[in-house]
Amino acid sequence: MDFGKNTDAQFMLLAGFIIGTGLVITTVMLNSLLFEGNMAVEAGNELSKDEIANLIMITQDEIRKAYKNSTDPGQNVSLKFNNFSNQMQNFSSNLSKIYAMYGESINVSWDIERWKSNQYANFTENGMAGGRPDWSVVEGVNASSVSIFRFTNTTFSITGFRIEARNSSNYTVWSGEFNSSGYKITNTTGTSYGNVSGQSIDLNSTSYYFKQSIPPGPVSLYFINGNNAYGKFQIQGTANGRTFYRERHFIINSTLSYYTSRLRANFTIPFSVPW
Amino acid sequence: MFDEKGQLHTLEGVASATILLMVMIYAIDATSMTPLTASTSSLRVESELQTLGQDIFNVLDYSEANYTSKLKYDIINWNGTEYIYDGSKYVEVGNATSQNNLNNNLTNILSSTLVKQGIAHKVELTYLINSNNKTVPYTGSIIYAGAPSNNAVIVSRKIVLQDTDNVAATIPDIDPSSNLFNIVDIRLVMWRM
Amino acid sequence: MPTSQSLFLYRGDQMSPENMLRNDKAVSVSVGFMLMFAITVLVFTGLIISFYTLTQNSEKSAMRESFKILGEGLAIKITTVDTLINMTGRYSGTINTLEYEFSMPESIAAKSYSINITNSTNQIIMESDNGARIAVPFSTSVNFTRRNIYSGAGNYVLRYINNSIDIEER
Repeated sequence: MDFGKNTDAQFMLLAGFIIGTGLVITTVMLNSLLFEGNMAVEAGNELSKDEIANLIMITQDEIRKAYKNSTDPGQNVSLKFNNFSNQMQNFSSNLSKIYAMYGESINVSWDIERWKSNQYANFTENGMAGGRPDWSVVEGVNASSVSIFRFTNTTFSITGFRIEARNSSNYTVWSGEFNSSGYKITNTTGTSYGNVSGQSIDLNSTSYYFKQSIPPGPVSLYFINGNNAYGKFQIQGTANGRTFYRERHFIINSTLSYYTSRLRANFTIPFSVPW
Repeated sequence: MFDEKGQLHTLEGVASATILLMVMIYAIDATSMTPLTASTSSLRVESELQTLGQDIFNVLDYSEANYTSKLKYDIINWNGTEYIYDGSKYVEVGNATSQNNLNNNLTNILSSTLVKQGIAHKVELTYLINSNNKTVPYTGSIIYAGAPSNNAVIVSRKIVLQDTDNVAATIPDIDPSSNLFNIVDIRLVMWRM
Repeated sequence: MPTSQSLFLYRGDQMSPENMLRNDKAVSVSVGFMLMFAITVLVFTGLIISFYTLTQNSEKSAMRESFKILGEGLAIKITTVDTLINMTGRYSGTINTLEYEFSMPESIAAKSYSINITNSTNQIIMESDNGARIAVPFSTSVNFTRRNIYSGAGNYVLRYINNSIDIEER
């Protein structure tokens, strides 16, 4: 036998080699095929929380504007509840049409019983009795620019409700404490006492020394123990170079519902009017 | 049968079978992962565009008490014509020589965010109109950019207009009996080319 | 011919390198066929078993990948519901109903799986019989009820009840 010089069957060896390589490549590709075939694809249904945030914001704005329009001095006072309900009803039905374009069904309802029975809002942050009692109403105010600063239809309890004006170093430069027996004004120079006449307080009058005792520079106005008093308030002036408005009369509870094929949400939010 | 003749036939057979098999497997492998498959990378691009669009609307729609937001101001003053981006500014569609380019708060933000990143976008406004004694939505186009691709993202914002806002004539008053003027929905469609 | 020293004559005395290659004595066709058949069966069995193990391996890693994607999607949904709850709280509102439906595939790689949501470690643990197991952390500001749900229901609902988020099969 002459193994060293026999060159027969070279192609058979080559064929065997190619078959082996082909099998390896086939196995690797099949592996990735099997992997992909076993992957689960999830249907992407994204809940848009911005839609609900948008709904809350426009309902809040519309309730406030409808209240302002119906209580405008040029409007008929006896028709104010009807005008408010009319505007809100048209708003609700037209809003449903716009939301229906996206396959969302919404419903807006409102409760004006507190307004009708003259149940005024507390001086807390959200106007409810359980809201935060100590809060900042507006910051960066130029005290001499305040054109309106008044409280009407107020009721105070025995424990006092206090308004503070603090400067940029958080030092109280002026404070006025009101309770059922009277008021006490404290500023950097001294204290003064007095009685509240009726249910209205106009802090621009000189008896409260508001504009007179606050030094120039931006101050922040705070309500302290706002749960001890209720009524209407209105503040208007200049802060940070722009006119600001803060006003609250009542709380209107509004129930919003937002339904899509996947999400059902229903919540009740107390909105303070007019701002 | 056990001699060494005909080796080339065997090799040809094996080679052709292997080539056929490899072509088939490559074709199957290529079709299982297509651009239409929802993989994590396409979801990431879409959610990035969604966040960008929401941020644009959040910035434009901010307003303090008794002030009008920038977005509402643009909608109130829209004159009803359609605009298209020509590379440097938004010109009127069909009237390239007109000097009435769209230049408002919306285009300022769009030029500095979406245009700079090469994201194609179009803006549409849907408002209610009275048609055949019924109130129906009607869509007008503010910025036109052709048909979007199939991984486009839509963000929208609804804005309520009052009679006292003095809205331009394009949008009608659907409720003369109260101060409600109209409810509009502005829609921004974004896609990557 | 060389003779051996014993009394019997061995046929192996005829062995030589030349004879070994071309000698076809003592070859039986049926025994040869049986041998070839047995070797073929053994080779094919080995091939199929290794193939099966290969697919099992790829199944397990595919399941793990799918679990990761689904688990993270579920964590995002829970976080979104939590954000909605906090958003309503920021407006001092109260939530009367909040239900969010979603769907999960009934089986992954033809096997069912279970989703275990713990509230002490705040993890979503997805596991299946063949050993694939994934834990995805999440975080909420409201309470979350501990749950163990199984695939196969297809549709599930996230609900806000009694000041905590609950997950149920629909």
